[in-house]
Amino acid sequence: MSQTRGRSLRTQPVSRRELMASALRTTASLALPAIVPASALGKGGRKPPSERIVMASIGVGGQGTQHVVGGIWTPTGGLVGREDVQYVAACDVNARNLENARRLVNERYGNQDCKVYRDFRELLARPDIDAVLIATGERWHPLLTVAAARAGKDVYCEKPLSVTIQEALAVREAVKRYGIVFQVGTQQRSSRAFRFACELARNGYLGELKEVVVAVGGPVGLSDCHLPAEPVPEWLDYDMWLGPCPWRPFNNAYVFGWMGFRDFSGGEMTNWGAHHFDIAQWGIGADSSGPVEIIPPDGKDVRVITYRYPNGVVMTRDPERMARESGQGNGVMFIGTRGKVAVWRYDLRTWPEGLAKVVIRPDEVRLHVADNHHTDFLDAVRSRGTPGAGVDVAVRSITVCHLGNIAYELGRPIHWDPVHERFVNDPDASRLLARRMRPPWRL
Amino acid sequence: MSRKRRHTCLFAGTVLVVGTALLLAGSAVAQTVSPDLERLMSGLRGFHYGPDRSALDAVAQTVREAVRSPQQRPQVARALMDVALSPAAEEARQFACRQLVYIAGLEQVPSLLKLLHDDAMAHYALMVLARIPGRAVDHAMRQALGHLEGKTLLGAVDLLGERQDPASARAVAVYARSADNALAACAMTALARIGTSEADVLLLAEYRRSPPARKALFADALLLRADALRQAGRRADAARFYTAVDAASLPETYRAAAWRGKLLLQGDAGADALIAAMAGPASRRRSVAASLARTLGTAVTTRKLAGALPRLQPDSARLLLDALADRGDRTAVPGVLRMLKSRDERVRASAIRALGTLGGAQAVEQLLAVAADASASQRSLADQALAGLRGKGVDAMLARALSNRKASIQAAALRALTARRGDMPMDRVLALARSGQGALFAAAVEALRELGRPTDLEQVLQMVLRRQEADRDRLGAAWLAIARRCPPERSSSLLEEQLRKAGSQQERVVLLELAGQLGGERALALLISAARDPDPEIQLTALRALSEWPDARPMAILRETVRAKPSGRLRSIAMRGYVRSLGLPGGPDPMRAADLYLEALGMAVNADEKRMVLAGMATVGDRRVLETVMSLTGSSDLRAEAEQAAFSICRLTAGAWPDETRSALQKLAADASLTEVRQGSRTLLNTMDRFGDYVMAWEVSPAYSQEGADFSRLFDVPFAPEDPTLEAGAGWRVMPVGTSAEQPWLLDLLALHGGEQRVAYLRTAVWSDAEKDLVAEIGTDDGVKVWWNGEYVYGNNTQRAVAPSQEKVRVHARQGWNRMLLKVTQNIMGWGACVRFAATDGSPATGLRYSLPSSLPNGER
Repeated sequence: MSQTRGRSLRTQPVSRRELMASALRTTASLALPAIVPASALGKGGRKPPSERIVMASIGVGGQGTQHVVGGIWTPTGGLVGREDVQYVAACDVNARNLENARRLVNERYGNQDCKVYRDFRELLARPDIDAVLIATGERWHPLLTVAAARAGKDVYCEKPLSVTIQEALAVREAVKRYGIVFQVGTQQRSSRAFRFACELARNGYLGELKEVVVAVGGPVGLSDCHLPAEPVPEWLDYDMWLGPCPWRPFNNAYVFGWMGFRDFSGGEMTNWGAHHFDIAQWGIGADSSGPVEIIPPDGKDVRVITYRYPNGVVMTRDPERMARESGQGNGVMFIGTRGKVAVWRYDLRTWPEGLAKVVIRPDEVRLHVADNHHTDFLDAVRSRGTPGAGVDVAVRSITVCHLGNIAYELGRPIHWDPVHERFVNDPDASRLLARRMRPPWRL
Repeated sequence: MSRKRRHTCLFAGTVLVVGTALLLAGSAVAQTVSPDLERLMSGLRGFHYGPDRSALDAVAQTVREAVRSPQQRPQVARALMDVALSPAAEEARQFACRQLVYIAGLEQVPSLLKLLHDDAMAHYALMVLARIPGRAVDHAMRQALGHLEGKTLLGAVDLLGERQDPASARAVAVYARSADNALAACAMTALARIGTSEADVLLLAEYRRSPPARKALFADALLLRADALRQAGRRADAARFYTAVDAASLPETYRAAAWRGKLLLQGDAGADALIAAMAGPASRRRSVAASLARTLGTAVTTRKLAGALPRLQPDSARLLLDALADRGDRTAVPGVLRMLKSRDERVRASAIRALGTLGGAQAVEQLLAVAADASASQRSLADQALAGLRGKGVDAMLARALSNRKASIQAAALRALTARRGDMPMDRVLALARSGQGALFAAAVEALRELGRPTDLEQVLQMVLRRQEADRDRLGAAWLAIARRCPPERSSSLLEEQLRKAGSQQERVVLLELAGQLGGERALALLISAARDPDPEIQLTALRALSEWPDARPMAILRETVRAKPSGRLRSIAMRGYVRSLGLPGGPDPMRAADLYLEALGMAVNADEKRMVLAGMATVGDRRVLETVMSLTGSSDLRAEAEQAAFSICRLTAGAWPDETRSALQKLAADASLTEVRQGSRTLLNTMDRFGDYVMAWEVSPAYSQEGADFSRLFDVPFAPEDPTLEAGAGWRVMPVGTSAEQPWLLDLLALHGGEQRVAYLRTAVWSDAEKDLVAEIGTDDGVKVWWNGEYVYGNNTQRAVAPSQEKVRVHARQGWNRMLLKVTQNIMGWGACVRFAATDGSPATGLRYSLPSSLPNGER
């Protein structure tokens, strides 16, 4: 079969960008028709359509909308402010969020072209969409990422990646199987301060790295959702909002504070933990590895949760210590035999002070350089490379967070085999690697 | 079936029979439950959705203990199972199942199977069943399949797949023919996960017999199995599955995934297919190929890929160059170097980027050539590539290039060595800075700026004095950068010495400009002395530097100059500097600043100077200043500036002097010539109308922080406002209000001070018509401490978003003026407060009014 026949739209959807690139190349040797608008050729400041990445969102609540139009935690201007993106559609189970997103996008573009969907499957079925931004809450992140991978869409997925370790592993399998570009929204990987702190740790400027202190909040409590039933608002498809989670009657607090409930989230261990444990992994050099022992506080000898790495590094979750030693209660601190560095959004401090002026030389360990998390993702979409917060990194980092939660839940030390990504002779801990999704949802 | 396989099944069957017998026996044994456990479970049985979760917490705690105790575990599991089967509320039964996930054993399996027929419980039962180890569970599930339907059946089939039960292949394969697409796809995935030879046969058979429309539904299952076989090293078996998917007329996504799998099986032998895909048109397969080109095979593949570069269309060549860069195999370097000669500029750019990652010393010469002579964009890329080149010999080659005959090559090498912090021959750099022109001079000066040593300080200063004016700024910046790396006295004494020796006015001017930028006590003294120099040009230079000094220390000399010079350029510069200094660190207390601004307005001799003063007055929350500024809104040449200043002042006075502020705002809303002032005034008036009974007359302290202390620790660290002896000097200023239309009551400390991990204080004076008890309703983001008439009365060290009435603090007001002081901590993000008073019965307080403490008559303060 010839390549041309192989690209029949009827049977073999090709993304719109691929199609446009090909079409423009085919017509390049011909005289362009006079009716092609200047904007389509990239004049007037816009990139030509073949170079724009067509994007859509699934989940346009607070963070999801910030991704679209820009906000405090997302790059200025958002996706609609970029010349290399054409944002075409949004999906949400919350009709109010959806309408708000449509209005903002249409205002930005000065047209009425943004389409909206209540069911993600309809959005993913569109062959013209190259990539999706998923920002729904972690209960949905794995299912949506896997579905998008199967549809051949590249994925920018907000953190936390998952509610369990097994779900994260399933995401990694699907991303690799379908060869999509994936990035998780741990945007500290696109920050100079965090990168530099990790480079100091990795290159021996602190001496031998001995400890890492991570300053984030702890896990959610032991109980599940317990709140009284409230009427389901007409703007919400509640069953779809719950998705794979165990069913319980609607309560407003779930929708607007899901991170406080174990059925929906791993609490601060995975919320801020997804950021700062991720940086710890980066600085330790454990992006393809992880801790081997996790010891929860015991009220006696072990005051805070403690992770031990194969190379002897000890990591603790200890916001009080970080605050005491650095003045910052949210961030990461690397401590070596000759110095230390504390880093937070978006600054750092070193001991001795002169370390802050170190220039990392070419022959030293130089970590992935990115200054804008959206750009890093979109560059990878174009080159088919791996962004700084790619799927391997994402899975290893969220695993660290989940391991902490499991140790907290069991109240005793657990041993992890980072090579095979399983517990060492621990059937009780292994029970907590996965959770049955509510049928019909499955990975 | 093979003999070995048959033996395995027979053995498994025996285990299952024994296991089932145990299950049945276990369920029949009468068990005693401890009174404590019974009490706990009784609490759980009585649980209904609601705010009280204590019954759940107690059970959860017991379950965590049971996980660690083999003795307790069966008893607790039994008790939970009883609750799950009881007529208790659905939520109690579901919670029991959620806890059984941790500790359920085979004994609970029969009961859990029963729950599969209860719609409210089926998912919860599956959650538990999934986690109980042992093939007996699989056996029981398999038996149950025929009695299940709908989503529960789907969940059960999926569960058998997840548990990889080898005996379930036939049982789940039945459902691959279901008319329900979701169930059929689920059954195929289960077969793929089971992964026995039998399951593989069934999987392929069901796939092949399925109609074309269903093949797309099943393709993921085949790929899943194929990937597992590939990872297990069963290449031939994996290839069968990949081929099945790639050969079908499926969506390109699946075919590309299958093709990827086949190439991974082939390793280096797949390189040609990879190149062919890269050479093809844009497609899913080409995208997958570009991704795979980063990892497939060994150096053999690298060489083939690099060799294919010249044959590819530009788009494909660029993709492959990016991939080769990520691949990190230097075998590709010769091929990538050839692409520097591509006719396509974007291909050349990709090649340069790739060399930055891959290239070593062998790439230096060609990259230098690009960096020296190519277009600006390519030059920049080549600079970046040279800066990142790894490997031995790179620095040495670059250093040798400093002696190249071409100045552009020398310049490129200098830029690279500077960026690399390479071993720089500084004497050569000094020579190039002395003699070089254009890009070479710029590169040499940049090298000095970044890498210059203290020993170079004097030579560079001489260059500053000797080079032509056009080069002086750049050299001066380099000198300052080196000076800042030296002890401060060394650079300032060098300046002082040069000033003494300076032969010309021009040299003195240059040296004074450097002193202004260098800063420090000695430099300031030099400038103050020069400001009194008889040479007007020297005076001018000194006053310019002083008027831009970063703190208020030159305030006196600037004021002296203004008063001494009735007109002219010197006066104008001094006036600007003086007005600026009133608002700088170390300047007058904010309350005193009002007097000085009013005085400065009186000293201003023309409209320009008055505009300068008005800009400063806009930051002062004082009713006299407001009144004065409002009087200037009628002035034809100052009207716009006065309107803007008056509006800014209104934000500061709205809380403390609401009547005066309203009057001003109404005038501005009606008459202002500037639209934004008219609209802003209306909005602020509207916001003031919604202040309600919140206290808006506040003074605010500076923000305080302390080394090593976060917001929580700062809560107990006393700063000046807490100390009666220091409070007066705490730098109080008027708190701006009405900054948020949505939260008109908000005292927005974040907008005022910004930052994290700090505290600030707010103070107000409350006049009461009689002695009485009051309730202060306080909201803060984050924690708060409260003092009333000097007594500490309340504290809450917390982190939260602000909302009205988060704290209700009872205080005793005396007749007349009372003093209230708040300390508000800041963790991250929002930071603010709000306060109002109520009577003790909750009704709004009466007989109160509020004032800024510093505005009270002396006797009342």
